[in-house]
Amino acid sequence: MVLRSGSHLLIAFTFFFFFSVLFALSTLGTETLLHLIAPSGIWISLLISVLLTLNKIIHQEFENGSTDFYLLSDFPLEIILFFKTIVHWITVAIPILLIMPFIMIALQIELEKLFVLLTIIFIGSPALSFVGIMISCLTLSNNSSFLITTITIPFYFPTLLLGIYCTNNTDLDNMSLAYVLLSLNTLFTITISPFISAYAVKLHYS
Amino acid sequence: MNSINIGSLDCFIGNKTILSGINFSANKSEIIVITGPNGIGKSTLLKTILGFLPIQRGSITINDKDYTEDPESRKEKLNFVGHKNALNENLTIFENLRYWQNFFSSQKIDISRMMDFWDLPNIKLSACSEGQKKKVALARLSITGRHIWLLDEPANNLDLSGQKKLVKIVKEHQINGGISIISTHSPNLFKTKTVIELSTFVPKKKV
Amino acid sequence: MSPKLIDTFWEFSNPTKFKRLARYVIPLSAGIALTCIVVGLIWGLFYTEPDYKQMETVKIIFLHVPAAFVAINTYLVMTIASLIWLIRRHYISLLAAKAAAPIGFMMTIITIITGSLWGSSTWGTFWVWDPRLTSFAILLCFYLGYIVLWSALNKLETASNVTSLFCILGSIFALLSRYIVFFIDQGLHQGPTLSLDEEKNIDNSYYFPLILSLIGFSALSIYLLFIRTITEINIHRISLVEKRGESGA
Repeated sequence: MVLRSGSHLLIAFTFFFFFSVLFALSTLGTETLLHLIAPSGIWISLLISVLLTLNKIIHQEFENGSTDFYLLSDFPLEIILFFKTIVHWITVAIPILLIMPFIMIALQIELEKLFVLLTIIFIGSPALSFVGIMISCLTLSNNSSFLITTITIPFYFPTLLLGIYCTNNTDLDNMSLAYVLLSLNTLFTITISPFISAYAVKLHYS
Repeated sequence: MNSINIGSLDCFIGNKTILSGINFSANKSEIIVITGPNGIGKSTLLKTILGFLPIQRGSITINDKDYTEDPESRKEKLNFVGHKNALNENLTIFENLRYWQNFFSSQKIDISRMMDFWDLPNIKLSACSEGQKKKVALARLSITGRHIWLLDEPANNLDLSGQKKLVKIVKEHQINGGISIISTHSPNLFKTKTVIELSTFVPKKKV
Repeated sequence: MSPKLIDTFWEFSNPTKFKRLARYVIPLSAGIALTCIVVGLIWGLFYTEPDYKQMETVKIIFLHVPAAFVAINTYLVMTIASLIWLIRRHYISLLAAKAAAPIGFMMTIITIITGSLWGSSTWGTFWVWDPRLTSFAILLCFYLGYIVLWSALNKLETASNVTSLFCILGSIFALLSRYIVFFIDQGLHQGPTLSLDEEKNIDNSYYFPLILSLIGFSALSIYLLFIRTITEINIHRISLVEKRGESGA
């Protein structure tokens, strides 16, 4: 099931890199400003990389008839979609986590924060993939990535707000509640996403 | 033990009945050919049997068990080749087949045993012609290990030797006791007695 | 609710019965809306004492609070209507949800505009990223998403399911975002204007006109909702007739 082509991996990866550079350049090198907005920059780049790769996953397969066979297969659609989302997360988020140290140097973030930042993005980013799949399953009949992007963004507010809040305040002591909330948010989306997605796909067959 | 029985089935597109009262049944090792002009509803009929479209009237029985109300488990008995090939353009032919084999766990057939059905197992699908892709889609039929096949115009895009191979795997399937329901424009290809002409099932228009 | 009452409620899923109901509801709600808004606003704007700190600008509350109340409740109505559509497949409820979206959208806009006018004179700025304001911005996004989704999907069969699911998910995620926003930042905005707790309530001279205009705005939105739903039903019927004409020809 993990057998997948890596075509969108490179795009997402490059896009994340370019976007981070763009973000850094947009401050015109003002270090204090860059320092303040760098964590938000990382989150926004991550979000947009995820968004742009969304329609590659389920839309292409709906177009070429693969979902027909998922429905025919021995596995429930929920499980198939769950694993597809995991694969999407691995191919999009993990490479980004790997280049994070370099991005952090570029964005003037202290390297001591590396571990904390990586942890936060690690627990926060699955929610991006899972919510994204859920919403893109809604728009199967319309294959414009513009539409998916537009209607998915509102659903990213909880994750984005919590994620940026956590990354911005890594110095504070009483942050454990925020971390718990971030992981709960991720867990919540992981739990509902496969069921909602499968329901949405089946709605397109009736 | 294999059998499928369709009883007075109606087919709908939206709220419009396009076919009504379809009856046929197939037992072990039988080939049924469905013909009719374009747009009559051949694909719709197959999709209704597959459970992609809802059944509003009629019944479907497989192996003497009524599956009309249960499209989920009915799907697990059937296999299908449609207009869309459902193949990933970025994988090779071999990888595509292995990918799909993972989804159908009931029977593990060695894919390399089927090598004679296509020519080049390791080229990317995006380099294949439409006919070759259709052959790959047909090859997938055998690896899933299901006994009832629904083929929606399988002879499209195939050259003469491809059509011969198609007939060959259908015959092989027949020898193994499987049932094939085939919608096609060239019914003579499969040399079977059971030919269903769909235009006889079109409901009379109300004035 | 007694079973009999529930049965009568479901009867209105029949378009003809719904229209019969609408014949009573539309003039009634229009009358209530007109009287309450006119009386409430005149009373509120001209016959209440200006606040000793906020001067005359405080009176924008008579527009701001009712509009906010209606904006939130319209989304609630849409969510319930979408649920009814997904579970019981009544066309009326689907069309009602579709009809309600622009009303809620406009009310959100009114809330934000009146609020920023008030904010510009009291806080000295049109907009701050305060939790309550942020929540309304988020609500606005969900209304927009819903409307965009309707316009992007042209086939009613798929659009209906998709938009309903979007609406229900949207209500979950909007609530989630709201609580997270409140968790992150406590904000500038004052607490709720109306509450059941007598002690916390605003002065009586403000209370009654506010309640009046609140009722007025709710009646107005009900009036608009019914008018728009009936229009949607008619549009739907026309398209059905057209389809039948095409297939018959």
